[in-house]
Amino acid sequence: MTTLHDDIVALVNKHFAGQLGARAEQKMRAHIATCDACRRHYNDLLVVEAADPQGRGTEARLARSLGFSPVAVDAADSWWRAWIAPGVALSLAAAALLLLLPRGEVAEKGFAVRGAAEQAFVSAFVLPATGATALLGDSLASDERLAFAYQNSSRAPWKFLAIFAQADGGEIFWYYPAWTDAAQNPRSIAITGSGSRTELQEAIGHRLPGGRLTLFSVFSDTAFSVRQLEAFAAGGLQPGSIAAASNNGRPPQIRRRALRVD
Amino acid sequence: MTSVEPKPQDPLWLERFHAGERAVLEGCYRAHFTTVMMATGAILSGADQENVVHDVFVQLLANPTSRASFHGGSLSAWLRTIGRNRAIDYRRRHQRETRVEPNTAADLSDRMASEVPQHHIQVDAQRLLARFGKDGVPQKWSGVFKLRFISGLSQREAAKQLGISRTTLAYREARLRHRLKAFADHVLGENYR
Repeated sequence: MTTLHDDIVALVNKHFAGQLGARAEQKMRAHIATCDACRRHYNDLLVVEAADPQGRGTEARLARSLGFSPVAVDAADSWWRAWIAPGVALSLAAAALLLLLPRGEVAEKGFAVRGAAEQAFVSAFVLPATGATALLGDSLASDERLAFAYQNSSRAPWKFLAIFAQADGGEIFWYYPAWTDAAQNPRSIAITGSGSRTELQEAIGHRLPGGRLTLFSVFSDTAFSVRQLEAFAAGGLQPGSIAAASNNGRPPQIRRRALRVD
Repeated sequence: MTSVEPKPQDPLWLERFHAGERAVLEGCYRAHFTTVMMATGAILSGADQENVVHDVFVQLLANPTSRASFHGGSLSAWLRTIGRNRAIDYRRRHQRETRVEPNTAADLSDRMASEVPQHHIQVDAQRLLARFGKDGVPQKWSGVFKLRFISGLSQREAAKQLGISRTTLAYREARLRHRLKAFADHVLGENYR
């Protein structure tokens, strides 16, 4: 059973993560004005924020809590070219975050991957409006751009990769390949067979609706079209249908992960 | 949403301010956040200071009476007065120790000119980083720690100096951040200041 202090500490943590709504913000501030322990926790996080090169700082953090737009990112520090995909059949899929793990390391949040050299991975990075690039966590803001890097299997490299997201309602948002013209039907992008990490050069933003999102990555030997993959996703990515479309070759490696869009 | 730069001498701007137009109020925040921080920082610090700063702008957003009391002139001076008065009230109400006790208006303006809000936060952060660097950073990530957390280089520049890709640096930085938070949880409970 959680106490009031546990609840307020959680609200303080959410405030520093930029995830607190206005009403909860007021509740949190009213409490820390009168509670030494919770105020001390807030002050401790101020110190940690000041020590963090990606710390938002008070101005940006309070702007977020007041509902103001974030301060613009320093364009000179961005190494991604960004484009915003127009609203082509946008749907959010649970974000499948594939962690790119240097050999032998344990990922954030306790995921340990065995046999890293045998599997392909995708890393997702979030480019917030303020601050530097960071690994994508469990949530993202609706206007944050995503960038990706992949590492192919060194033992049995894949030839193609597709990355997309699907919302609870079924709408799909495309990251790779880019799909900006409804008249076209682009295919999975060709990828290198090397075992080293390869960055995909564009950071992509979508106007994501709030709620749950599934992010998918599909490594394959067949260049699936976006319409094929959307059909698979609508059908729940049934292995049989995908295998048939793979011309009886190796079934694709599909990863998925749930995210929350704030 | 684009914020609107404050123009308190402009009757049209003033009308929009009184109406509570969000872009106008955001422009006030952008232009005068530091003013309010300085005014409150002479009296309060840390969470208390941020409570008051937050409240100043919440009242502007939510309370037409608050906005109506500004009739044009120096928005900076008006906000500075509001911030200072709210900080004094807050200190009295919550019986905080006096951090700075200006005796005259001149003292206050001198202190506001020289006082760096949240200076002690920065000092504590430097102490935390020094201790973390000594006790909490694995050797293989010391380069990322020194260039990003201590020297404050951009990710681009740090990656270039270390000869690693941006994504590798971002990954190691994320791992260091995770460790820093755990380390801070442990040491900030001590009598650190």
